[in-house]
Order: sequence, then structure tokens, then C-alpha cells
Amino acid sequence: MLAIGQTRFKDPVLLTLPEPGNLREGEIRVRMSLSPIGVAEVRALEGHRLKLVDQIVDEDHPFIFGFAGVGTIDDPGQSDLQPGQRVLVAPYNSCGECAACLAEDEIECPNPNGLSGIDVHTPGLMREYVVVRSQWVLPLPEGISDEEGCYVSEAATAVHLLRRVKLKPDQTVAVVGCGRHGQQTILVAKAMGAKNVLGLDPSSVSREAALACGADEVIEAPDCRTGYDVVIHCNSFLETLGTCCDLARVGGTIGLLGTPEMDHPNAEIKEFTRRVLETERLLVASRSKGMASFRIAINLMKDGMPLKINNSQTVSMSQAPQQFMKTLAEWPGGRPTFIDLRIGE
Amino acid sequence: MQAFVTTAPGEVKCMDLPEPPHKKGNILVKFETGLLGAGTRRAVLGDAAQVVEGGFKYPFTIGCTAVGTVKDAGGSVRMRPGNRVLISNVITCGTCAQCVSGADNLCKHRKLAGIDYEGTFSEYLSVDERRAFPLSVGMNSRMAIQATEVAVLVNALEMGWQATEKRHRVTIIGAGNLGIHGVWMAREWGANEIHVVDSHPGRLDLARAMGAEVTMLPDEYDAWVNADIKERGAGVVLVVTDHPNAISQGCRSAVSRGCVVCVGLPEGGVGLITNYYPNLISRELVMRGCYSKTGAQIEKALRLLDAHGGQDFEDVVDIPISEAGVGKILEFAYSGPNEQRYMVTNREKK
Repeated sequence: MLAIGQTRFKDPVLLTLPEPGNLREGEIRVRMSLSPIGVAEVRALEGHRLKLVDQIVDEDHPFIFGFAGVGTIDDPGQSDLQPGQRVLVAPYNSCGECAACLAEDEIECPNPNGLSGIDVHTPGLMREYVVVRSQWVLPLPEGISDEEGCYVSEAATAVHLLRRVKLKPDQTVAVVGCGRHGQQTILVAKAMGAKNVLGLDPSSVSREAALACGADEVIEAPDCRTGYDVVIHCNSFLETLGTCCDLARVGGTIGLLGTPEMDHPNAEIKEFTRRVLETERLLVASRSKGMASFRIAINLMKDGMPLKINNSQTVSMSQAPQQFMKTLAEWPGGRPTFIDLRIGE
Repeated sequence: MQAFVTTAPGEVKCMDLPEPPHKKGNILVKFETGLLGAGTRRAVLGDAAQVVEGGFKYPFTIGCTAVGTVKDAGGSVRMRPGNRVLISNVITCGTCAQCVSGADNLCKHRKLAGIDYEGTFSEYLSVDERRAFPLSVGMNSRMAIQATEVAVLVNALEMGWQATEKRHRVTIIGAGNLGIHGVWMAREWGANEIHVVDSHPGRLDLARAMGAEVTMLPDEYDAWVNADIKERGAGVVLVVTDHPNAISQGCRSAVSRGCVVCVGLPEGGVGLITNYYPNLISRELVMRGCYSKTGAQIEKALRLLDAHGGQDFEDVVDIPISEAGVGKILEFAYSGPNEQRYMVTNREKK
């Protein structure tokens, strides 16, 4: 079967993989339909993290892209799923049996075994077929398109973060950085009942997107605004942590989404530590999510949370390598892009 | 009246000052006991960094928390002459949003006695009634004087317990005058296993004597805990030292989704954040500053000390408010952090 991967960084290619073997107990086979090019794919293409964690990518260890995706059930195994049923596929490869996995909190599994599209030894979802445990797919309800299904993963990241910061209805929220994750955070925060959601981003495109996601207000740069109950750091720049302190009220919460670049510490960052501690602000870190957050995200969408996907494009698997490089060049701009994984359909 | 006054960095004098004038809303207290701690050391040495913006304003009376006896209760309905009281080292405005909401530890106009407000080491004190907390009958002053330190840890433990479900194991980094209380207090809060990390072997001995299960030097602990972080790491880590590496060590000592509570401020250093941030993210930790204590937490600390007894200091250097005490205060300041306790007392004149 075909897959999109790389055997050296910044060189995406179509690869031929062995056909999936027989199912083991608890497994199902999914015929993949669609997978997005997102931040996971761009970072894998650049290879920074893979190099940092000493994961080798070469002819013998090909990296397969695809952190998120949707498909249809090809073989439901012993599960209650039905052939042809549309499902979202999550990127887990954990034990599936420990207390964390059973609580749908897979990132706390003692044996996580990597994530699809993140780690080289756990193939990504940009393949014609994937074989996974049945607990790592979720049926997509009618009314949620394949494209929207691909974005549930991002919404689930925001759900996990906002659960970590214990967001309560009617709390005020500021989102520093309105890229993809920032937009999803605004959407989910509004759906969870936050009021007066502020988006801050220097890009006018991102600010417009933030408004479309339901932000009550957007600003280009920090001003004298302050007093927000919850402030979410949603970008890759450590320097903007100081802005989070400006926006958060004394005793408020600052949520940290993901891992910013760590190679440019400066005095402002040092000041951040002092300010957080001195004012008893709560610093809450978040790195990923479990199936519980996927489930909540889908429920929020069923209840009307609109995932905004404007001006998107879908390309075929054969066009994918070229599109990967184009997306990398335009990142974080460019159109939302999906790869159609349905060969010959 | 006699008082210990610092006149310049490294200089302390016992001076004869006029008795404080009566102020409306204040009570007049006869000083009984005061404990020397890190704040007084900084004041004596003139180390104003991160404590007083613009540096100390000399001369000023030193002394943080004190215990005394009410001489004149003013118009107070809570106190009467003869009541023994704890005088908090924290001065709040009582009117800002934080004070009104009960978070008076975050008062916008907060000042600290003996740092940027008149200290307590004088024979008589005139203090706002809100700074005074009545002691139960028979509570000895050596026990009571610990209440403001214990109250900071009440705040820290309340934060830790609120932030995480993983409260079985608590690690205390820094077992000085403040951190050592964490041993009995964490037990009181329900921790089953307590680890103490400090670079002073004497403090580790004390922590062990108080019941800590694991006591280690910082480097030793770092290697040991990270050899099996899931089984040895703590859900709640209290960083109770201003050593610049302590926060990053705290984050390295915490299990996934644990909470690191930083009591006070680190000495800092450029790039400090890069030392702790990766662990903060990869372990999905919660980090919180614990800068002070509320009045309610001081009251809770007094109740805890009354019930539990805290840490009894058998070997205390007793310093009278007199010319003879000046040398001892300087000895305390220049000897640096160690396990020896120093107390100022107000002896009756013959």
C-alpha cells in the first residue's frame, strides 16, 4: 500500500509499505480517507524534534506522516463498529490496558510507544490502511465532515488544555497567539462558556480568523489590558510569556500549550518567573491529549461548536510531496490542506 | 525604649528610641519574643535585591514576626490588655480588591516589617489590630513565633493539594527555618511519604528526626529520583529555598501532572526558565508561586501549632534587646543559613 513519508528530512516522497497483516485481538482495520497537513507534519518535515530525541530517519527507518485523519471501517474485527462506518483515528500506540488508557488518558500511559506522525517507530496515518485498537477510533456523527473530523485533534488539544486550567463558565480568557491552536482554543473556550475572549496576534489574517472563531475582541499588540482569569500561551515564542503575565490577573491562571523554541532566553523571560511567583499566578502546562478530550471535542461539535475551515484545498497522494514543500515554505500561512488517501476511488 | 536599628549595610545598633505614639485603630504591644530569619539577615546585610525596590531606607528598626502582650487595646473588641498576641510581619492595606476578597497576601500595598516598614525588635510596638492574632492560653512564645512561617506553608500546601490529585508523596527542597516545618505539616495534610533535599547535612539530620522517609543532598537526590521518577517522584514539590537551581530541581523531582509550589523568590539568573520549562511541559506540571500568607492562614497556623506542637527549639541563641545583643545579631547575619536558631527577647529590667 502507498504512504507519504520521508527517509531524509525535507524530502517527502510516496513510499510503498507492506499490506496490513491479520488483525490481532482488539484491533480493527481502517481504510483512510483524509489527513491534514498541520503543525505535526511541518515539524516532522523539519526534523528538529526527531533529531533532538535521537530518532533516526533513513532508508531502513522511514518516517510516515499523519498525526490526524479520518477513514471508514474496513474490518471491524470483534468490535461493535460497522464496515463502512466513518471514524476519526487517534494517533495512539499505548498499551491500551493500563488505568490511564482505560480512563482515555493515553498520554499518561507508562508505555506510550510513541505517537503516529510524531515518532518514527509509530507510522503516521497518511497510509491507505491503518490497523489500530478499536478504542482509538471514534465514530464521526452525521453533520461532521471528513475535513472537520481531521481538525477534531486540534480541538481536542484545546479541550485538554482548558480542562487542565479548569476553565469555568463566565471566566474571562485571553489567547496569546491566534494561529491554528489559538483559533481552536478560542472556539472551545467559547463553547465551554467563557465570556469576553480576547485574541492577540500581530497577523491580521490570524486576528480575522480569531474573530470568526468567536473571539469577542482581537488586538494586534499588548496594550494596558489586564485582569483576565485565564490566559493561554498559544505560540512558539517564549518572549510572549511576559505578555501573558500582563494580561492575567493577580492569582489568575496561565495555560501553556505546547513547547516553544528554547534557544533564546532573555531578561524578559527571567522576569516572567519572578512575576508568576510573586503574584501567585498559576502556571499550568499542557502537552497533548487523550481520547477523553477527542470525545468531548466531538460532543461540543455535535452541540454546535463550528470548526471553521475556510478556503481549504485537498490534494491527491501523488501531489502530496510537492504540496508538503509548498506548505512548509508558506508556514504558518497558506491554505488549510488535506491529503486524499483514497487511491483509485 | 530600646530597639535594634540598622544604620547601614552590616551595621546594627541598640538605640534608645521614644515609645511609639498611640494611633487610632492601633494596639500597643509589649514585645516578648522575635525570631531571626532570612528577612532580618537581608536587612542587616543590606541585601535589598528582590526585596525592596530602590534599596533600604536607613535607619530602620529590624525584626519580622514577634510575640508580645497587649498593653493598650485601643478601641479593639477582639483584644484586651494582658492578652498575648502574635504580630505578623505583613502589613496590608485592608481596602484593595485582594484584601477585601480574602487574598490579603497579595495586597497591592503590602509591606514587610523590618524590610520596608518599621520592624518589631523594640520594647514596645504600636500595630494595626489586623496584624495581631491572639494566642491560646498557655501557648509558649517559641511555638507561637513560628506561626507566620507555618502559615506560608499552609498556603503552599493548600495550593499543592488544590492543584493535583497526586498527594501521596511530597518533596521539600530546602529545609531551612521554613522548609523544615513542611515535614510535620505535609504529614498533617495526609502525605504518606516525605522527601527532604538540602545541601546542609545537619538539616537533613533534623528532617530525618522529624520523620522524613528520604533525606538527600541535591545532586544525590536528582540522580536517585530520576532513576525511577514514576515510583520516586512527588506529586507535590515544595521549593523552599532561593537557590537559583531549586525550581528546575523541583520540576525534575515531580511526577507527571504534579504540582511545584515555589515559596518565595529564586535568586534568578538569565536563562533560568530554560532550565525548568522543558520538564514543566513534558510532565504537564502545575507551577505556582507562594509568596506570603493570608490572615486566615496565620490563624490556621496557630491552631495547627497549638494542636501539633510544631518544632521545639531546644538550642536557641537568646538575644536580649540591649547593647550586648548586637554582636549576636551580626553573628546570625554573617553566619549564613544553618540549623542554629536565634531569638530576640525582651527581658524585664531589674
